[in-house]
Amino acid sequence: MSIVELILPRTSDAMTEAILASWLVADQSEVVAGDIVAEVETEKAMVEVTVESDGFLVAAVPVSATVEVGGVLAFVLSGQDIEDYRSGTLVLGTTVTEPPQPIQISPKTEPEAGVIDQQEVFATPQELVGIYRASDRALVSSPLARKLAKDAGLDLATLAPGSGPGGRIVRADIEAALSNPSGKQVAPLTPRQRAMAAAMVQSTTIPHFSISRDIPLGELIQLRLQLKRSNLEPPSLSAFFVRILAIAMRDNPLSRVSWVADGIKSHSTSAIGVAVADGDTDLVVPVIHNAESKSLWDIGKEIQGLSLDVKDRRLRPEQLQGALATISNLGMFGIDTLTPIIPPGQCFIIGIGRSRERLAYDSEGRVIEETYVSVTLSGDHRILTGLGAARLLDRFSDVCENPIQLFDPEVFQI
Amino acid sequence: MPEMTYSAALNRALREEMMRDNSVFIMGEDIGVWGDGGGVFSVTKGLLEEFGPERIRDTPISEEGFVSMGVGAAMVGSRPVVEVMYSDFLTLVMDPLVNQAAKMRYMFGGQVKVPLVVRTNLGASGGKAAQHSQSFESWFMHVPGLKIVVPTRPEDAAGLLKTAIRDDNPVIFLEHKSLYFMKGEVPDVIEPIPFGQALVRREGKDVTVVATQVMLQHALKAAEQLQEEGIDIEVIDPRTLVPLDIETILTSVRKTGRCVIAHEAVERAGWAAEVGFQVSLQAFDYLDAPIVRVCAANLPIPYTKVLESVVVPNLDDVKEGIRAVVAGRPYSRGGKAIHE
Repeated sequence: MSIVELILPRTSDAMTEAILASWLVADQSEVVAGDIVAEVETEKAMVEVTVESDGFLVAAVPVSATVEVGGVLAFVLSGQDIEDYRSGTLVLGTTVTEPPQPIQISPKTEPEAGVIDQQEVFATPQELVGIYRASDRALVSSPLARKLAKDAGLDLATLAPGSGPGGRIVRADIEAALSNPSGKQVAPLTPRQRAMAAAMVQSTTIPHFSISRDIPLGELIQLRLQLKRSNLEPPSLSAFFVRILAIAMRDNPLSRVSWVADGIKSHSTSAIGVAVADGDTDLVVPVIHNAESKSLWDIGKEIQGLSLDVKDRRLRPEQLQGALATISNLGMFGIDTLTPIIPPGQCFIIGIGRSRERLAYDSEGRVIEETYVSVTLSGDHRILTGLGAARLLDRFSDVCENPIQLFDPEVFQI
Repeated sequence: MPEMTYSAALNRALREEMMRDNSVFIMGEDIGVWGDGGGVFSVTKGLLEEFGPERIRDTPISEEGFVSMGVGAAMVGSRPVVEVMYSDFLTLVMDPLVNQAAKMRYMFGGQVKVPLVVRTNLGASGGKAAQHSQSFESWFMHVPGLKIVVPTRPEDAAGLLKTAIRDDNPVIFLEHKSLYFMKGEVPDVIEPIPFGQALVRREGKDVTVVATQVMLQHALKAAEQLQEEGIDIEVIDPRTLVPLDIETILTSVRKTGRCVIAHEAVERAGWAAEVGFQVSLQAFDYLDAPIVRVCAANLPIPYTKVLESVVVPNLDDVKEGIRAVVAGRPYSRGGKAIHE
């Protein structure tokens, strides 16, 4: 099928429309490229309209109709199409939505009267006007837009027409689609979302159980304050939790296991994942390997570095693999408790809520105010029992409440 | 840092190179004795008095003759710096430059070298008409064996001229008529600037503009003014066209996704097409819009300043071109010769 539209060209700078004065060929007659087929009357002159392809001409407007620049005057149909048209199976309608913009040549000053007519001199280069014909490819996009769409896993067809000239899909359209997926009814999945969904489904095959404990944080907070007062900037609370979990795991070998195809695998080192949010929709879990032999300070720096890597999208695959357990801290978002899901391949996950105050009894029976967090451990019941998990959580709590144990010579470094 | 004109910076570079190497000598029309001395733009001012008529040689009006002499002198051990008064007269020296200088070393299997510098100036400067306003750098870019230098700032002119003189190959050194009296900072010690190193004159994130000489000035001005329209432009000065630092340009386009190339030479088959093609080839997937070039209309340059300003591209044209690339529209200054 080949239907070419004959549009009204702009023949002078200020022209916006013309009147179809006369058709010079009979309707539906055969024409050849270069034939003059009509005369249109502009403000300035009678202008001849030439057809640029071979075929059969079907008029779209009657004589004395006013047509805007870029409007369709007629269609040029191929042999097959004219048959369909005559028999009524082909219906013609205009598809040009935007008048073509000819190239602007801007004369900067008024020339002296009577000198060269600039329109004569600066005629619009026809070869460039051709770009604006309604393309017979439905999907027009810039190379950059195609690349970005491919990287993001977006289907270009869902984004047409774009905001560029002639409906071209451009970078701005891809960016808009990625930042506002709710703009369309069904947002296609980004590769990250796809990966997260697959992992979560896999996690449902792990038999989960959960145990919780409220852990007083007073001593830990005190320790960090003392470090601050001594001008030793303490690592973040997350770093403390990772270090303390590593100690607890070191002392509880039954927690250092993972489920593999042919049995239960024991691990001598503790790789601990730290859940980091990337924007509102993505969760990334970079891993601190050998946490039991890294100092608190090193862990603190490593967490900072990993957060930047997440932000800059620089994480390498090996930084996301191999964790035995994960810590997920939603405390800064006001969550009291959470029951986290174990990432595939791991033994357990610990969810930490926000620090809160409550009244409690001290060792002498007096009422005191204490700061605490709720900690929930979800474990894989194929490889960890409630008792094993409880012992682990007990040890974790013990070091949190008595952080002086971080100085234990058994622990390599603070 | 001291401030001096483009012309004075060239003068210093010539002087220092002549002091450094006795084989350097200068030839050209009216470079010695005429008027106040020092040529039509004062570039060789004071040199005749300092170095004498053996090393500063006024020539007759015979471009083909004295450029050929320069080629010959270079082949037998001198380092001539030959001045052709306006680039329009390069038409007279095509054979010595293109058929001889560019090819001698190759055709003689390396037995001879041609350390020749031909200095001339491009461009329109208000009413010098069709035969004294042209920009021919594109012609010579098309000749393998010639290096092309197009400096804009006084310090670049001086540093690049030193490199040109020390280069063992023929170099076409293209100054610009309108830039001779432009002032700029020039360091106390002028180091030779290597060829093939573009400079990012202004950083930006929305559009890459590659421009030379007067068009570079327009681009920087356009950058200030278009900032108010929310368009942030990166401006690149290639400084040499052969060798060309295409990597700097590509890095920029990969960042912005949009490219505008502006030169004063005629649009049709100008070097914007060569650079534009390289960009479309090597940064294809990074282009968000068709590449735009802002160049002279395909017309002889008129004599009256009013009409000259229509044919030769100016600040408004550069801004229009940038707006076009942001909108994704094609842009051309077109023009059909009257007698077509």
